[in-house]
Order: sequence, then structure tokens, then C-alpha cells
Amino acid sequence: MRNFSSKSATPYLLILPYFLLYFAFSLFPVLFTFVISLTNWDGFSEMKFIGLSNYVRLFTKDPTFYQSLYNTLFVMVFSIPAQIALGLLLAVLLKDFFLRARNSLQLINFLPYITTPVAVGILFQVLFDWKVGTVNAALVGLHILKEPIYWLGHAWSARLVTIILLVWKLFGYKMIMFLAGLSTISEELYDAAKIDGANWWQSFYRITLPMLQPIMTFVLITSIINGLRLFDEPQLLFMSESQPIGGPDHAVETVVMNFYYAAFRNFNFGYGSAIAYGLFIVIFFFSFLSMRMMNKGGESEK
Amino acid sequence: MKSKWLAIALIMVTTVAISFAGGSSEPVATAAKPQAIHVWGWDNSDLSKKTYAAFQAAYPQYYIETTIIQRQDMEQKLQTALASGADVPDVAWIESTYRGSLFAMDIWEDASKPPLNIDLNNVLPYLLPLETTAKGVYVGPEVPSIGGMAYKRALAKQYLGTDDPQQLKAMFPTWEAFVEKGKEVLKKSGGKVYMMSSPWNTFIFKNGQTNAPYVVNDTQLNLKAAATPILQLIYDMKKAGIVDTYEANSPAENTSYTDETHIFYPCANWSVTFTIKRNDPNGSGRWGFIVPPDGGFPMGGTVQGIPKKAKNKIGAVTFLKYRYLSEAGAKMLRDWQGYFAPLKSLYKDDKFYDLADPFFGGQNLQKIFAQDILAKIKDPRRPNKYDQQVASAFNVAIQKINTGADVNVADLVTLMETELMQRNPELKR
Repeated sequence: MRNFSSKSATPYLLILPYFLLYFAFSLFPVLFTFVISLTNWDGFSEMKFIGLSNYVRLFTKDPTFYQSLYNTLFVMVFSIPAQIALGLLLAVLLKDFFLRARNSLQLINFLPYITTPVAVGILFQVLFDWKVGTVNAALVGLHILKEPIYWLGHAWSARLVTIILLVWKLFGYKMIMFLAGLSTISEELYDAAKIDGANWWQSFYRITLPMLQPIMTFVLITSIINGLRLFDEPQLLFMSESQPIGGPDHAVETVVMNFYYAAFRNFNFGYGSAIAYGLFIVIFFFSFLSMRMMNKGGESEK
Repeated sequence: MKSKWLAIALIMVTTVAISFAGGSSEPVATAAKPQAIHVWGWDNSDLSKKTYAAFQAAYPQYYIETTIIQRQDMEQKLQTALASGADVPDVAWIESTYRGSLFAMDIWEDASKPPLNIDLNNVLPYLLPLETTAKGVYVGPEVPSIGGMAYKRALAKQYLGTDDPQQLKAMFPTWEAFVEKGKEVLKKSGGKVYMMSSPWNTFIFKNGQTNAPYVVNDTQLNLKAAATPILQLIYDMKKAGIVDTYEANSPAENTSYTDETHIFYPCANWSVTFTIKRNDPNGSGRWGFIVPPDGGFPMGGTVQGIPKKAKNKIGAVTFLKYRYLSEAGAKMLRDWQGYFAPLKSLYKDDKFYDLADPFFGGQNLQKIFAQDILAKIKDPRRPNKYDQQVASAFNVAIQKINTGADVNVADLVTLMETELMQRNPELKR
């Protein structure tokens, strides 16, 4: 039998703090949330065990869950490709055409990402205000519109403004990711392509894009996961006293917003926890699907 | 090694014993340390601090410790404190928007029962239902918050022919008369001048003036009876074109206070300072005030509640009685902050609230609020745990009216019912 000496215990002791913190602040809350989802609990009185009733209500009796899921996916489907396309385009342009001003342009384009969501929400409320917003003033002034649009008052325009906000806020982060990826591509490949007579577009399509596939996979999967967890921006954009939850007709009420209002506004922690687990199932499914698709794409190229 | 640890332990025990022994032999001549009264609220102004200092001078055995918590965060802060076993305040501010759900938490001490003993006979009667939970617990007093109608004198003179408050009041005996006059104003101004800036302002008036509950017997929706008159008025005003399309309390709507295209606004006693004067700081003399059609109404308000788990309930109720239910406290509220007090006896003397306001052309707003509004409010709508959700459902309906969508009031009420039932399966039509 091996003696348990202090030397063999040391590595375990060194990694113990991480695991303690992980158990306390990650694993335990996740497991306890599941326990709460099986109860009827308002957060401070006694928990009442009700089994799977919250899940039955969530999946069979609550249209707001599916509505919020639809809203979330709708915003994601339009905002993520735009963020990725814009981020990639800017990364490539900065690398190929704006070498001298690259650092300052990088910073300027990254600023929206680090701007606090509260400020962004107020900014977009003012920009897209029906009566005095800058956007309406510009569009009417340029005769693109005859009448100003009530951007924050219709379901379709509320979604459009939210998508624009997300693209504006997040493309800078994508750009940074792609810049990092571009820096790993050897210049010799581009030189060889030039010698073979390839133009810029051909180099981009046949060298840059395939070489960026690992980064693209990472960006796409993290975008999907973060997209499904969308909360801050639509919440702050439609937080005024005259707005319903999630904006006009609840058009941008996301799943996390639905969970937040159920748990922290209506003090129904049991049902809110069930919504959180419902979202977990959806995120798991989409992550699995994206990884399978991206890996399949990689395998077929081999 | 063992004896070394024993010696250290002995020294530590001896040191602790000496410090306790030293403490007990001190003479009992020092005054007892003042007890803290922990208040959670959002007003940290100099005037509030002045009030606290006055209370501490009158009751030196207490001092006030405030923690600033915004009104929209109070629910969560209290719930987090209770769930985690952390300390709760001795006094928590409960704003009207969140009152229903905070009352439903059932965490409040009954301030009218021993040992707190607030005498409800001293409180303005109309306030009692607003300060009592569904289970009959009296939570605590509040500064009466009541609403009337402010107007821009120059626009009233130009488009209605007069800026005299008595004549204007006589012009609008009902909301129907208000709508008809609004059509005349619209025509006279070539479609440029509106009676009100926002349909949500119409909601504020009519919601405050009606008292039919939105939910009865805990689960029965009553929106057909309660919401229909409110939505109908908003719809009629929109159809007549006399109300503009601003969103309530938006930056854009705030700028309308200084323009020349919107005449009337809801105006609570606290709106004078926090809304009218704030949005139109150079508007002294430009404003007037009238009691609106259908009379004045409760508008906002913040109840001071003592949680059951508060540590210093006696201190808390002493403070509340001093600040809200004593003549000394009422004078401070009146003179320092322009607020009213809920003490019933004050309103027998029509000189107690008697102050002309040059901002409103010298009108005696305090007297109007005290004698023409406060004294006449009866039986307001009680707080309910679904109030916030009902407000959100109203927002959906009002937004549809505001966009000019092809809707009718009955469909909007059905939409509100559907929405509430989806989020709260226990509710029924």
C-alpha cells in the first residue's frame, strides 16, 4: 500500500481551492436550481415539493415560453450572421488595407463591446424615439420616410432595433477574434497565391476562410450560446414605464427575460428554475448540433 | 512543544478573562448607546437628513442609518435578505408600483397592534385601504400622494380663452366635455396643439379615479368592468386626435413641458417639485392647477413598512409616529419638503396647509390639494399582487392604441385577460 506522503498530497491541495469554488459557486447552484424547479417556492417561505408540475406547465401550458424562445431565435438568426460577417470583413480590411491605422481602428470598433449595456439601452431609446429620435429626423429629412416610424412601438421594428443594437455592440468582439485567427495564417500562403495569379477575393475565399475554420467554429458556438442567453440589451432598451415586458407585443421578450420575470418579479422561483432548465436543454441541443455540423464540414474537407 | 502550546493557551484565556472583568468593574455612569434605526429608501437628500437630525434631537436614544435602495430594487433586496437570513431594515419604503407584490409577501408587522400601536383613528381614512394588506395587516403610514391637473397658462389662454383655474374647471365638468374642447383646440391650432402629451397620462388620471379591482377573490379577473372605462377614454382621446403620442416619462416627453404644443399634465403634490419644476426650471408663473374632471385621485405614494424580522421595531414606529403622525413632523414635511402628512386632525384647520406657489401664478396649491382633493377622496383601489402585471398588460393595450392600430376596446380587454392568464394559470376570466 502506498504511503500518503505530503509530497503526493501537494498537487491535490493546490487544485483544491478551484474545485471548492467550482462546487460552491457553479455545481451546487446548478443542482440546487433543479431541486427548486421541482417545488413551489417564493424565495423565503417553505418549499413545497410538486414534482414535475412546473415542467408540465412549461412545455404544455405556457405559450409565453415558446413565444420567448421564438423571439430569441429570431433575433439570433438575423444578428449573429451579421455580426460575424461584419466582424470578419473588418478584420480582413484592417489586416490588408489599414495597416498603419490598425490599432486605433481596432480600438474604435471594439468600443461598443465595452460600453455598459445601460448606456447603450438609453442611447438607442433616444436615437430611435418616435417623436424626437435622430434616426427618424435623418430619414424624414433625407425624404427616405414620409412619416416617422414608431420604432419602439411595433413588434417588427422593435425586433429590428434590437438586432441593429446587437450587431453594433458585438461585431467588434468578433473582429478581435478574427484578427487573432488571421495572425496565425502564414503570409507565405498568400505570397504563393499571388504568384499563382490569385486576386484578393480568391485569396480570401480559398485561403482565409478555410484557415479560419477553427476560429469560426468557436465564434459561432459561443455566439449561439450567448445569443440564447440574451437579456441585457432588450431588457434595457424596453425598460421604460410605458413598455410591456419585452417591448411591444412582447416581441423581444427572450427566454432569460421570461425566467427573470417569473423568478425575481413574480417570486415564483420553482417555475423560473424550470424555465432555466428548459433553456439549458435548448442550449445543449443547439451547441451539440453546431459542433456536429462544423466538425462534419471539417471532416468532409479532409 | 506541548507545554509551549499550553502556556500560550493559558495566556490567551487569562487576557480574555481580564478584559471581561475590567469591563464589569467600570462605573455605570455613561449613557446608553443610541440604537440604530435602519431605513431602506431612495431619498438621501439634505432635507431628509435634516428631518432625521430633528428626530434624533427629539429622541437621542435613537439614530437613523439609511441604506439607499432604488424603488424598483426594493422587492429583490428584501427577498434576498429574507432568503439568506441577512438583516432586514427596521423601515422599508414601499412605493405604489410595487406595493401589491410587497404586501403579498406577508412579511410586515401590523403597526396598528401592540407593541407598535399606531392609532388608525388618527390616519386619513382614504389611506387605510392603501396601507393594509389583503390579510388585514396595517403596514404603515405614508405621505398622502394625490393628483390633479397642471396646465400651461399661455396655451390655455390662447386656445381655451382663459387661464383662470375656476373658469377652466367649470369648462371641464366631465371627461367628455374635455374631449370636445380638445377637438376645438386641435382645429383652432391647425392640428398642432394637443390637450395631453401622452396616452399614458390619460391612463394616470382615469386609473387613479376609478376603483374597481382588477382581480377579485384572488383569482377572478375583473378587467371588463375595471379596465374598459380606462381604455375607452384613452381610445376616445386618440380617436379625437387630442392626445399626442409620447411615451410616459420618456426624455422626449419631459421636453414637452417647455414646449408650446401640449397643455395639460397629471400633477401630484410631489410632481410640482420632481416633474414640473424639474422639467421646466424657468417656468415660474407659466403654470396653473385645477382639479380634473371626475375629481382628484391617489397618485403614487410610498408606505413605510416595518418588517416582522426587524430588530428595532419600537425605534422604527417611534420614528414613523414622529415623522408622519405628529404635528411637529407634519410641519417639517410641509415646510422642508412640501409634503402632506396623513394625520387626520390637521385637515380640520384650513390654515395648516396654506401656501401660495409663485410657480403656479400664486395659486394656493397646498390648500387646493388639502381641501379640494385630499378631503374628498374616497375608497381608492386596493393594492393587489398582480398590479405590476396588470400594468404591463395595460402597456400592451395602450401601445396598440398609441400606434393607431385598428383595434377596439373589447378586443384590447380580451388581449389583456389572455396575457394575464398565460402568465398566471391560476387566474380565470
